[in-house]
Amino acid sequence: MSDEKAIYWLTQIIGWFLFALLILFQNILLGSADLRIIGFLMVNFVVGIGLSHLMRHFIISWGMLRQRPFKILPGVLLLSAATAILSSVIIALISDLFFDRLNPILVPPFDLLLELFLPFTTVFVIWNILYFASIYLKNYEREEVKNLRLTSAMNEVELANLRSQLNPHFLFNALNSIRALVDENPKQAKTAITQMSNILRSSLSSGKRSFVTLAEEMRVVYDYLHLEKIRYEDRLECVFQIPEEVLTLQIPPMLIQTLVENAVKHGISKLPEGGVLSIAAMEREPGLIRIEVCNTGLYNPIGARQEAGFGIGLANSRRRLNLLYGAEAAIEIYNGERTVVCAVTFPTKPLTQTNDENTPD
Amino acid sequence: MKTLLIDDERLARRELRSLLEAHPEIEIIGECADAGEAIDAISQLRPELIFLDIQMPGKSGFDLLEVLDWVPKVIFVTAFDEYALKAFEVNALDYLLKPVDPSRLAESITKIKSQESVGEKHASPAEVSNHRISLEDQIFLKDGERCWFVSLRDIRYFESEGNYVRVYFEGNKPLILKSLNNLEERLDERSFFRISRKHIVNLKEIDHIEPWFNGGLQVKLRTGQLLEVSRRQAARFKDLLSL
Repeated sequence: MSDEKAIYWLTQIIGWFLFALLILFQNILLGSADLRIIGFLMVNFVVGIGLSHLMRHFIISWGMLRQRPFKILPGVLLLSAATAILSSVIIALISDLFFDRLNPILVPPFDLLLELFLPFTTVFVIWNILYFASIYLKNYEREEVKNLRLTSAMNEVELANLRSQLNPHFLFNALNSIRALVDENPKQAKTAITQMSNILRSSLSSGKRSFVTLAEEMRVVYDYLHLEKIRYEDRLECVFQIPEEVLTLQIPPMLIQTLVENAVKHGISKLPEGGVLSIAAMEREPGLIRIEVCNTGLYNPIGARQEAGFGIGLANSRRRLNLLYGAEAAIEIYNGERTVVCAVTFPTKPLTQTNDENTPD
Repeated sequence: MKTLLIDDERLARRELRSLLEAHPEIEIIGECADAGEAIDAISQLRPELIFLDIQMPGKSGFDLLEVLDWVPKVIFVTAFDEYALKAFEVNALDYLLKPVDPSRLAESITKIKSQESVGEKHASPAEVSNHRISLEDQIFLKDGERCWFVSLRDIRYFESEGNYVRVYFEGNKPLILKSLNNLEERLDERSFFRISRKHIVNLKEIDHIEPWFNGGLQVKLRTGQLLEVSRRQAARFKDLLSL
């Protein structure tokens, strides 16, 4: 705020100084300049600053800044004219009193008044144009910043929501399987409960973190697939191709998990005989991660679109990647050899780090 | 009560079986892992009750019901398909959520048993034995987002519409993918009569019959609607009614 005040006064001083200079040059050109002009210019300078500041006071206290430009236009013109009259009277009187003692009547000469009134009106109108323009510009910028802040806050919230989505279908089916296992194989049931806890925990905490290592993510995926294997038994076979060197790479949490859930939900669960689900991760070129999740089946984009709930997980993942990595990230889904391939590519370094406790080094 | 369990997951079937041990009146006559198996099992074993999972590979539980000529009593068992069940009218069906709560299961079975004791008064063994669909049997109908279990007694008439048949009951008229000929073979002729190439009518719904052009007849339903009896069928129709 004090910055703005300083700029205001500096502009006032420079502006009115330039105005005084203009009058000086005009007088020099006309050949009518003598030493008295210095006094006249000083009076001009002080009256200009003083009255324009007074005018600003009225503009602010009448709430003109909050109204639409068209609505206040006549008011501003009138105010400029009134200020110009006042300035002309003051200047005419002062110059009459102190510099031109030839005519000591306390009524300003009419022609001097006229001579002063028009230029002063012009000057005050220009002053107002500049003043209002600067205010509008400042408001616009402030609004812009506010919008930007709002958008980034919304993105943050959205990211957090997208990360923490848990598939209720999986949850309740898994619990149902575990309930049956309690009789059939109590030891396996205990393991399953631990794995379910791990998944719930990571799902709850994933909303707070922007990145996890691929190794951490895979731990969740293993637990998840283990639980699905209890449910689907020999209908689900899993293959992993994850070289050691990619395990430390940072990835968005629940990304692979979402793709794997999709592959089970839309792929394996649709096949009466079941199928194979494979996960491969690689750093194809330096700085670019590629993760492929494949499942037995055939991808049919038209049929898939008609299916309730299809594409939400994929669209969410796409949106997340877009927010984190921009245009460099991509998710594609296509048919391989009797498999559906879902491939995600994204840079190892995100666009900007989101503020959280888990920023990668 | 002869009962069939239909769920693609072995453990889910096992769990249901163990829960049903507490209900000796439920006699489990088989288990099916998909809709295809279930269609055969239902026509051969003719269960009175099925426990049906909605999400199964291949055909869903709804797809299964749609292809059946005749639908036993159904209790849906599902993990999280409440949105799918919203398609039904309130109280039109019973469903259990996985993992199944034993007391909820007991409630459902009590409800089914009370319905059965009402139905038994009408059911005659002859109707069951000739595998025709009787008036007390129900069929499953689906029209876009809405689903119904409809007892045949409530159906006024069937109308042929291309490869489909339109079923008129209460204020609704959904389509089913069946031919009128096929339907005629499956329906009990003492309750439903084919009056023309276009219509099969529920005899209980007929208010009166009046002569029509060229020796034909016209029936007026209790709702006031008029349907034409073709000349060919008119003679048979008269015979049937004089019995």
